[in-house]
Amino acid sequence: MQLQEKQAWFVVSLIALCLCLFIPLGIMRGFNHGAGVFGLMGLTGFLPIWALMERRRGKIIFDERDNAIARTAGIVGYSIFWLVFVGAGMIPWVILGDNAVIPVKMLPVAVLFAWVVLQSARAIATLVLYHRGRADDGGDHG
Amino acid sequence: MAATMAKAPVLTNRIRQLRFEHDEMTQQELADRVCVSRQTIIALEINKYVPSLALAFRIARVFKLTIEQVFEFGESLKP
Repeated sequence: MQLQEKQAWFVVSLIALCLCLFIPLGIMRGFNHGAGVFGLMGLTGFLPIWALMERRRGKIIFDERDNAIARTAGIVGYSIFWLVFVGAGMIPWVILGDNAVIPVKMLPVAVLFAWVVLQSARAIATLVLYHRGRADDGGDHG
Repeated sequence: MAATMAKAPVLTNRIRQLRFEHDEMTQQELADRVCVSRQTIIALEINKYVPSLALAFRIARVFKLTIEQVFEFGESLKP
């Protein structure tokens, strides 16, 4: 498994863990407190260190196919993020009207969730793209 | 309106066959010699990835052949 794929699995697992903790915590202590579990996403800051460790082991961690997958996944991630971003901006307008007020505390939450959407869409796209090239894996490991 | 038929480029290769003809070279050995991962060689062999020109040249050189002897370019009709 390529490093980029491992990292995508890590991000997807982390988001799943955050969601699993967010829902019960939100129910028990209120969703304002529950959103704090997304601080776990800060662990993605270790991904570049992971890459450095793999490189020290002498592995080829990023070749031209990885680059192509990263580019496509980035486009998919950004497209989905943009759809969600525009939807999140326009739907409240439709529901609440143009005179409604949104609390300032919603701004960092909106940025956080936008980042989570972008990361998760990119990670899932990465996993799908790697999976496509693996239909025959396992035949000759040599 | 008449349906249009676009020609999709298809690049096939003989990498798997050539590896076996060259002392049963493993995917990892070939990957190391052309500086890519084994997963990329797997994707190439099953025609799931189209290599760059540079990688195609490197692979052909490993087998001491020309690009045309390793890769075959065709076009398939797709609606």
